[in-house]
Order: sequence, then structure tokens, then C-alpha cells
Amino acid sequence: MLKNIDVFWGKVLAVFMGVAAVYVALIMIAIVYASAFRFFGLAYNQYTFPFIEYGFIFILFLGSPWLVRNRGHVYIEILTAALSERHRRSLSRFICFVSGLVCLLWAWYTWLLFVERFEDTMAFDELRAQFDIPLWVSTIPFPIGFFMMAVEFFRFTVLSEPMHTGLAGVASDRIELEDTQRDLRESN
Amino acid sequence: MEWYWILSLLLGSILILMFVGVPVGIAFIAVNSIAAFFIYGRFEGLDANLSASIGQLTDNAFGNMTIFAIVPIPMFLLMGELFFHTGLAKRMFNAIENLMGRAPARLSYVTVAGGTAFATLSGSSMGSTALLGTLMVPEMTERGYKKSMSIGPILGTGGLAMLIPPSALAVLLGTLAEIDIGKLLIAGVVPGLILACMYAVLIYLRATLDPSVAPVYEIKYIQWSKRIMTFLTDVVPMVSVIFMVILLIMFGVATPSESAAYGSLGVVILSLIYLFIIPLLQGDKAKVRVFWPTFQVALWKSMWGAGRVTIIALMILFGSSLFSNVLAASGSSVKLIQWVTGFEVSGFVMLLIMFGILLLLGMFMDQLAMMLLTVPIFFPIMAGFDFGMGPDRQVIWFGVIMLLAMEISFTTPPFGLLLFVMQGVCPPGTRFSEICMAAIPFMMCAIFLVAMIVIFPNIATWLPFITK
Repeated sequence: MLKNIDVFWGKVLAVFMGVAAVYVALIMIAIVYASAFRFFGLAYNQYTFPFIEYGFIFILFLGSPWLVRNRGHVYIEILTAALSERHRRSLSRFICFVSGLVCLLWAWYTWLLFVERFEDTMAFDELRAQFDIPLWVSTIPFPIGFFMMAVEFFRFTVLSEPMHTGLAGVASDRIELEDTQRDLRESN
Repeated sequence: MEWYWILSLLLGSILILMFVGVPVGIAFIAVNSIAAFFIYGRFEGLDANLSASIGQLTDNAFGNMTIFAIVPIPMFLLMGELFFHTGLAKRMFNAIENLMGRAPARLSYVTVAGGTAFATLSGSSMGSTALLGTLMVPEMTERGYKKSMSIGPILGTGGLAMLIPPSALAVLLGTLAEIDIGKLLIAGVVPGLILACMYAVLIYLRATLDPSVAPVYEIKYIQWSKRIMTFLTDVVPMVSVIFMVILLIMFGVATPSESAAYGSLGVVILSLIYLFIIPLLQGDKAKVRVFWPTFQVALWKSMWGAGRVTIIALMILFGSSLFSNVLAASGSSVKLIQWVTGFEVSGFVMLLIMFGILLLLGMFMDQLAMMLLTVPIFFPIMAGFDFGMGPDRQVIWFGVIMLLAMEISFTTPPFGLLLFVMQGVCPPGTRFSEICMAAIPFMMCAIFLVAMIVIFPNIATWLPFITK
């Protein structure tokens, strides 16, 4: 039962990550569209620019939880690589617990901020005043993203294989390295 | 509390958390949240103060991250991923190998030329090192090349990714330091090409002085006409995309964000031509049939890869915006600058100190984390010194030196990260000491280039300032 929930949750995170990945391509299309229309003197949708700019915050918080789950964020394994297996596991779980608490704290207070702004119908993004974008739109990714990251960090505290693998270096680079090698094997 | 205690506590806590293995972004969020609690929390009760401090940090982070200037980061990454996954990068690499003919140490030159091109296209030192290490080292070892001639050039060119545009890291540095991204990107061109040439000269000298390090071997002769044709079909179109991006920025035709987006579009069009239109014209039905599934997979992998690294960069940017904000709000950054500039040290001594710090940090830290930690401190300090070239040029000049320093630190023995990557992809039996020894001559080339840029700043500042 618990395993099924975990698999389902993993798929949800992968879908969010997929949306973030597609958003990157949409940014490219949006820029090409806006600049080409401008070049030819045609009118283009003014919301293109808020769409691009808001995109960064949505990309970050939609994809970050998946990255936590897949050990993709940047963290340094010098100490954990030098520790014994038992100590590495204990330290890794402690780090994930503390990281989860930090994310949970942010999730809670940014949620309160979101609720406050959602209820305030007069609160708009002042930096983009001409678009009348409600302020809660800029806040909603924070609680969702931080909550999902907290779940992922806490998940590592109970998994048999912790977040830190004990291989020296920087985790995200190792993932990149493995991806590149896999792609090379596939292309050959 | 005095400013130096605040700064020491901030930096010390972040470094300790990073050292024990806390994800870099989370380390910054945690420490800066605590700092913000004391700075912004002027209300009654823990809850109100936490709410005020996190609310303030959220708004600052949102303001700093939702800016059009960071668009080149995902776009350059997308461009590189598309080059890699559509097979265009590999095609170009093979073409360069054919072009080299029977020159002594040809595979080392191939590595430098292919590595420079690939590192430039992919924008990733790690990816480039992994690719070249996997592809080239086994073959070079089989051909009797010494480790210094096989591993060294790969480690050297891996770092060029940071310097030659399109470099996502240069964009990130420009964003963090709030400097002209277009100019910083263009400023990397000349130093990057000089460095690639220095590597080629180094290989030539070593192969000439001691031919046993790279034995000459027989290869199938390829006619010059065929070589030129390969160059025109498999190298020129790919390099043209890069030139288009650079020229659009240089002549102010498009912003870095726009030219980066057009660069990505250019790669999509190129891959359509190579994977679909050419086979269609040639009547290659098998290739036409597999085009769409292959292209779909390549597109998806590219978006996923670009998205993944963009998120890592955005998380770093998020942490950085909190850090800059807390530094500014606590008054530490202003006091630090006043304190540092109050000393009777010349700007060059300060530059040397910063260079040393970057080398030290690069031994155990990712380049993103290094930027995050040093940019909010180093750039304001450097602005307090006058190197006699004007503030606009000086900041670009310092940006290039900083990129080079990070590149060098990546291969600095014994902890440079590229050394570990290389060890991961090298054939079994390669000793770590061999990798370190192979890296040193190429590292010295980069250090020599830094010295040249310090003495002749125009190497970095000439090109970005010849146009508006």
C-alpha cells in the first residue's frame, strides 16, 4: 500500500517536472514569437513577458521536488564520502530531516502569505501593474514547492538508501555524468 | 552585533552546512532565514517575526528571479542539449576527426578542437569531460598515447565551456553580479580562443620534443575534396549557429535572451534538415521513417535536461537573492567594502587574494555554489578599486578573470571536480595521480592567460566594446 502511494507520488512529481521542462521550450517559443512579431511591426500578446518572467518561479518550484527525489540538487559529498557506512547513513538522514524542517517552515509561512493575498482582492503585482496580475499568483508556487520538497526530504529519512551515496564530488554533476554515459551507450 | 560577526556567522554557517552535505540551496535558505529573522523580526512573538522575515525574503526572491535577463540560462542549456541529443554534436566531432588527417598527436588536436566545440555547444564542463573521456581516452590509450596527451587536453577544454559563448554560467555570473550579460558573453570569446590555441601549441611542442608521447599511426587517407565537403556540411552549419548568437548580441541586433532563443530554434531547424529533409531528398526511406520517433525522443530529452539544470541554477539564484538581501539589510556588505578599501593594498593584490580564494573554493565546491558565495562580496569590493580602465570595462574584465579562475579551480589537484569526473570515465587502472599530472600543464596555460589578461586587459575588454 505504502509502496503504491510512493510510486504514485513519484509519478506526480515527474509530471510536475515534465511541465517545468515543457515550460522551458515554451519560453523559447514565446520569445521567438514576440520578437518576430515586433520585428514585422505586428501586435503581439502583451502577456508574453509576464508569462516568461513568472515562468522561472514556476519552473523552479514545479521541478525542484523531483530533483530532490532523484538526488539532483547540488550538494557536496566530502565529509559523507569519508565517513563509515553507518555514520554516513545517520548523518544523511539527519541532514534530510533538517532540510525537510526548513522546507516545511517555508511552506507554512508562504502558505499563510498566499492565503492573506488571495483574500485581498486589491493586491496586485506592482512591478507589472499594467497587467493586473493578482499578487497570490506570484506566491502560490512557494508553499506547493516547499511542501513537496519537505515530503521528499522526509522520505529520505526512512528510505533504506539515504540521499548521500558517499561518492566524492558534487551530486548533481555525478547525475549529469551518469546521464551522459547512458545517452552515449544508447546512441552507440 | 558588529558587522564582522554577522558576516563571519553567515559565511561560517553556510560553509559548515555545505561541508557536511546539506544541499547548497537549502543551506543558503536556512542560514538566511535565521539571519532575516533577526533583521526583519521586530514584532511581538516568534510567529509574527517568522512570518515577517519569510514574507520579506519571498518577495525579494520573487523580484530577483522573475527577470527577463536570466532567459539565456535555459535557452543556452536547451541549445546544448538539442545539439547533443539530436546527434549534431557527434556528427561535428566525427567531421573534425576526419579533417585532422595524419598529423602527429592528431587525436590530441581532435580532442582540443572537438572539446572546444562541444564544450561551447553544451555549456557543460562536466558533460564535455564525460563525453570526451568516454569517447577519446580508450582509443588514445590503444594508439599508445601517454596519459598526459589523452587526459590533459580533455581536462583543459572541459573548462572552456565557462568562457566561450553560449555559456550559461557566464549568464548566471552576469545576473548575480548585475552586469551587462551580452558584454560578458562576448568578452569570453577572445580569451577562450587564445586558450584553445595555447593548448594546441602545448600539444605540438610536446609531440615534437618527445614523439613517443603520441605515436604516429596509419589511418585511411581521405581526399582533400572530401575533407572540405565534410567541413562544409558537418562543421560550418553547427558553428554558424554559435556565430549567429554571438554576432546578434555583439551588434545589438538582439538581446542575449532573444539571440539565445533564436540559437535554440536554429538547432531545431538544423536537426530537422539533417534528420528529415536531407534523407528525404536522398530517398533514404528508412531514415525518414524513423525521423519522427527519434526527433520526439531528442526533443523530450533536451527539454528535460535543460529543465533539470535550469532548476539547479534557479535554486542557486534563489539562495543568492536571499544572501544578497540579508547582506545588504544587515549592513555587512557596505561595512566590508569600507573595511577592505581602507587598507593600503593595491587592486592587484586584492585581485590575487580573490583569485586564491576562488582556487581554494573550487577544490571542493561546485562553480554555482562558488558564484553564489563570492559574487555578492567580490564584485562590490572590486568596484572600490580603480584599475584605470573605467568601471564598465573593469567589471567585465573582472567577470572574465573570475570565470577563468573557476575554470582553473575545476582542474586544480587534488580536489578539482573535473579530476573526479575524469576518473569516473577513464579506463580501469588509470591512477588519480596520472590524471592530476596530466592536468597541470593545461592548468598552467590558463594561469598564464589570466596573467596576460591582468597585464593586457584589452584581451577581454576589446571585443565587447568595439560595438555599442
